[in-house]
Amino acid sequence: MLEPLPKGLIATMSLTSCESMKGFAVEDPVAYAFSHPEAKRILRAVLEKGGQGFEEVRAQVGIEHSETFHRVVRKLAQFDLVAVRAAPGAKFRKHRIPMVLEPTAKTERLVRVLHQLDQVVVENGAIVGQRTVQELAVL
Amino acid sequence: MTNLILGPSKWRRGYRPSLPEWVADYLPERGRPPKGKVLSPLGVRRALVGLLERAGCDATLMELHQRRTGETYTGLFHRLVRELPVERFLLYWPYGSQRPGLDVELGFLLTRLEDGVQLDVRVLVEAGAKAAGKIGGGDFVSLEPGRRTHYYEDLIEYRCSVVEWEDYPALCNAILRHGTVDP
Repeated sequence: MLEPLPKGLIATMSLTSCESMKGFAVEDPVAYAFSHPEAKRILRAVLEKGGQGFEEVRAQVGIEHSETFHRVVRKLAQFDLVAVRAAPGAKFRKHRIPMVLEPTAKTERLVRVLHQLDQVVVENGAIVGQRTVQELAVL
Repeated sequence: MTNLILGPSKWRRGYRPSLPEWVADYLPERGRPPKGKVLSPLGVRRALVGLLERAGCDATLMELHQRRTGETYTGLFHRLVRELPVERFLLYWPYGSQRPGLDVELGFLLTRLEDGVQLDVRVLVEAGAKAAGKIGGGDFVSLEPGRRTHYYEDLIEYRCSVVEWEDYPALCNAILRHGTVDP
């Protein structure tokens, strides 16, 4: 039995509500996370070990350019898939403060729901067909 | 769950951002500014409320509520937080705004955070060509020093999450995601 989807995670952002939004394209976090290899790697790193600084995570996922890394993190933060917070105990010095990346409740829930969906697909392989792509292998 | 969208109400004297006109489409018809007039930060916050409501989420501003007889603004703020109830505070932090009154509201949140109360506060900071704050080299840098940003910085020190947005489509997408309920 699947857990109910968190309100707003997928259900309230259905195509119907996307179409009714004026002036801007509503972006889909799930589609972004799964179509963007860097996003998947960052999500995995943050889920495995939250509380790391930007440079530690960037080194771990092997993204060479800090701007590329930052652009993806910014998008994940906008989607509420990664929380960007001050490092514990850090204080502003000359208007600067070190930040860390943490998973959000929504990310953890999303990954759990997706794994459950994945399990259903695996268990019903005879009906839905064998998959050729393991989208969740990285999460 | 209700989101309370906090933020400034006016732009700094002489500053007018280039705001896309469609933002005003999320305001009720009677609240829309005349064509060609830039929305105030208060207008933007009202539009963000409209956007969240269209997505089926509850959101409000303190400015949308009337004080009861004998009630102070402080009393109004605390009543809304208690009665709605407000469970998430979304702070709209654009570049180039005036914020003296906002400091008081942030003070209410900071007092509770200082007392160890867990509050869900998300700081949505403009980080585009005109940036109020930006992350660079793994640090958040507050880019309006001298403009009374200490209380925003305090929220960040209390580990409220920071969301950068580079333009209004990005802000609207972020509001849609952060204004929805976590299970």
